[in-house]
Amino acid sequence: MDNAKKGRVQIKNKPVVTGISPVEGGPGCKIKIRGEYLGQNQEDVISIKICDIDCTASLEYSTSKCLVTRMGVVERGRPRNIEGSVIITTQSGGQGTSMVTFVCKISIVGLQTETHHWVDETNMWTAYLQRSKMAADGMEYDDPLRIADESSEEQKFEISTLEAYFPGKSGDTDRENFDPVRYLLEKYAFGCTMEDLKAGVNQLRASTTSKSFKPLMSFKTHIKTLIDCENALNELKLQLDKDQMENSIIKHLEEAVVKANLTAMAAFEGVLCRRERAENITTGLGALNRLRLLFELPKAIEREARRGRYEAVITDYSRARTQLARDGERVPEVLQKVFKEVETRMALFRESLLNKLKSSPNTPFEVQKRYLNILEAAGDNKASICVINNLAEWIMKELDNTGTSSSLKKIESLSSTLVLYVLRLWRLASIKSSEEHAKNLILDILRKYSETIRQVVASTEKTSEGKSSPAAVRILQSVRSNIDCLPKECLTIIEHLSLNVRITCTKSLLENALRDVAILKEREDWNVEDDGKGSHLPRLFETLVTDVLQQIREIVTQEPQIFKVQPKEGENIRKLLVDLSKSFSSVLEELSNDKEHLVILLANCDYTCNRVIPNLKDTMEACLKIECSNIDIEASKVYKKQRMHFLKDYIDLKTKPILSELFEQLQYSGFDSIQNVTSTRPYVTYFIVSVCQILSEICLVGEQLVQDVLTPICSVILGEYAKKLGKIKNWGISGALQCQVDVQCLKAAFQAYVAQKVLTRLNEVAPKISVSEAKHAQKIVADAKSSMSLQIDCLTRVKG
Amino acid sequence: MSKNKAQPPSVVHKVIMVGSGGVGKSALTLQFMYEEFVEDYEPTKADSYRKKVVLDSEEVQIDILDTAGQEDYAAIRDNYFRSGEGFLCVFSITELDSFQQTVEFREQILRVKQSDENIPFVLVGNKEDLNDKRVVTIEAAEERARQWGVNYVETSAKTKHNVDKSFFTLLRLIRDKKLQEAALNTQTNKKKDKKRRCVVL
Repeated sequence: MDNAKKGRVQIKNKPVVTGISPVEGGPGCKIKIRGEYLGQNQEDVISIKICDIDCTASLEYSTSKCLVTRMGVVERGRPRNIEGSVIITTQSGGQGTSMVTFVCKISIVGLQTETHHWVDETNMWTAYLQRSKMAADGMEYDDPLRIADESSEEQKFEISTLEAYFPGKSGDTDRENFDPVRYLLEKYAFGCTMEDLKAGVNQLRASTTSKSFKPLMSFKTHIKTLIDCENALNELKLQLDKDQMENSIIKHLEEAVVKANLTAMAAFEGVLCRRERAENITTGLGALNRLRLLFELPKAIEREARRGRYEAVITDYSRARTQLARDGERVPEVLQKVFKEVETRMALFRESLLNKLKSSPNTPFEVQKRYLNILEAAGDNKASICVINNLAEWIMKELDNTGTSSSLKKIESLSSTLVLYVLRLWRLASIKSSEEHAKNLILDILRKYSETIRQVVASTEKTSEGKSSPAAVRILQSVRSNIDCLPKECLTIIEHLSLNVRITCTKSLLENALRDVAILKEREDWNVEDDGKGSHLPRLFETLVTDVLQQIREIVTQEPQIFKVQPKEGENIRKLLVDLSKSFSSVLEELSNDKEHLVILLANCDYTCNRVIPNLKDTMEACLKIECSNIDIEASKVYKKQRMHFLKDYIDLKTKPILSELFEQLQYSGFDSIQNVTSTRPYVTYFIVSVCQILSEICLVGEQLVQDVLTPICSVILGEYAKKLGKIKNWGISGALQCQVDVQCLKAAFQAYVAQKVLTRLNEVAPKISVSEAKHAQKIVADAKSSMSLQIDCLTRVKG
Repeated sequence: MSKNKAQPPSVVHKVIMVGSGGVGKSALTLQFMYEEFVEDYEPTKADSYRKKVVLDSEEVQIDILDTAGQEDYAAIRDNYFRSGEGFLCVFSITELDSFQQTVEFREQILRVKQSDENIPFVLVGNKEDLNDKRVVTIEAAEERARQWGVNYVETSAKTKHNVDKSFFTLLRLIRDKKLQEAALNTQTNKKKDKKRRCVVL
């Protein structure tokens, strides 16, 4: 109380707010305010406004430096965020504002939003009542002297000055230490005259006396007022009685509350009802929308199907089905009808689409896939199977449709059809995962295909159009690699077919080669080539066979084990190869009818046996990858045998005329008739010249044959000659000498080609002569030799 | 007993208290503002204080925004940080986590302040009175301060040790920075003027 009294006389300290916690919040938010001079006590704080909102009601005073309050109720229509300062009014200090600001945030509450609203009623009434009382107390401060001089307000003594003059005294009339002088100085020091003060004293006295000693006077003067008061009190009493009769004010209030409650309920009732209605209407509209779609569905399906927008059809249809599934049993009859209609339309749609798919297998795969997907979505589970079956049937028909094109072209077109459509079939099947079914179909198709191809190939081979075979094999190869994605069983069929065709081709190629070799003889021109190779025929044969083998190599190269896998076929092929190797001998045989060219044939035979056959054997092994070691041996045997025949024929051919000439000469003039020996007898010369002719003939073809041919010829002739000499008994006068000369001359000429046995025999049968005769003979022989030196040289040099 | 008639100082330095929850930001603020120590812990949302102080014989106002340390309010920090001119980054020397988190606070401040490395910033290790429970060594804190190029002050809101020092250090930094910027502005203005003249010539 002491401070409060002082504050009143001292200079007021305005409240200062220096801190606010927190800086933002909504109504009801607890706020701590810090600062200075925030009032001496709870009562001292008259009002507190934050952001211009009154927060006095919930004020809790803690110290003059700290207040706690809550944000007050915000009027309607205020902006959502208000930033403002804190304004505090205290009785002791007056109004002060803050240096800090607060942001009042108001959340907007809608009709449907649940929310809480803060109402604080604690201390509301007590605080209010206390404040009213205090205000009344404050107002009691009066002017006892009743000197109402406005001007006096302007000039006053400073409180400190007065304090100095009147220490421990007070100018307050209510205080114990009241000092009248100070009071007067404080109040009326300026602008008051003595008269005024005197009048005041009188006034004060008068009032004191009137109060204490003249109450009656007072009543008299205020009688009217008193009567008015009594009347009013009476009226109040009457009203109170009346209210009590009407079941008291509380009941009235209760009624008012109930009524207010009802009104509020009614108000919300309306809102809630409207909301419910709105919801109902929305639901109804939604249902109508859905139904509208349903009713329009059949037409829409037809329209979209016609336009080719199948996906749209499917979307519509699935929507309808979802609808049906959701509503289930509860679907009304009308809608059931609509659904039935939809189903019929869909059935038609499916049928048309399926027909479209079936009728044109050439449609691009993507389109087919799309159609299939659509069909499936449209509820046709068997569409893919149906389409696959259809496609399979179509392929079968295509395979049957052989056409008139050449066999190779036919194979080509069949294969490309097969690859394209079988693959498509398989892909279609794999989309719809009906591979098993598709596999069986494909197996059928492939069987049919391989049958057809086999027939075609067989017919091709028959018409000796052999060159197409490797191409066919290549096509099959590409078919195999193209359908690599198919199951193994399918591949096996194609592989088997491929193997088959390969073997057939190989066989036919070899058979064709045999035929070709047979007609080689027509191409013999008997032109001898160098180095004893004979004519060009053996090389023609080699080239022909090598070509064929190269072709076979191409066929076989993808399947190197082909003849090991199929041993029986391998054996057949081997036989064919042997035949082919031998076949040239029959050509030579036919040619040997013409004895004129026996030497060339002999050379050809040698060449074939020594060069061609080993070469071919190597080529065969390289190309066919089969064991050929026996082939060359077998073939060589044939050619060697043939060579022997040829040689014998040739020797016979050449020796016969010589021998007949020799015998004739010996027959007509025997050794006994010879008188004088001057030279060799003519048969010797003939003999040597004939052999030289043979030699030249052979040398034209090949020197390597000389020994083989001349040795038997000479041996036979000299052998026959020796036999003849052995039979002569009578040599006459110079017969022995003549014989000795002839023999020595022949020996000299043919010593290189005659067997030792024959020479010995000749020496035995030759008659003995004397030493002088021998000398004579030597001389004659030397003469004869020198006269035939050219021939003898030829014979010996070739040998050498 | 200061007189209200005096005009409020025009210079206001805006200081923002940052740091993890419970390190003593509010305690430091209240100690600085009202010289009182509050024992009860009540998490702050965001409090605002303003006070006249004499900084090197010049009267200025310090505006302190005491922010929430709790992660719940991390999202609204950006807005507050933007208005700050200087930062007191507080951690508790008895809590290692709070020291680690100063890194994140510094990063957030630099991000908001467009990576201005010279932003007035003081690293404050609070609860110095609880030295027996210390887990963050002076060396570690000083090392971090050295890395960042900032001052490090150890305070106790309870004993008021170094509380004024930390605030005044920051205030000086803010003032110096403002002076620098002002100088720079006048310079650039002069330059602009010169340039304009050149164009005229």
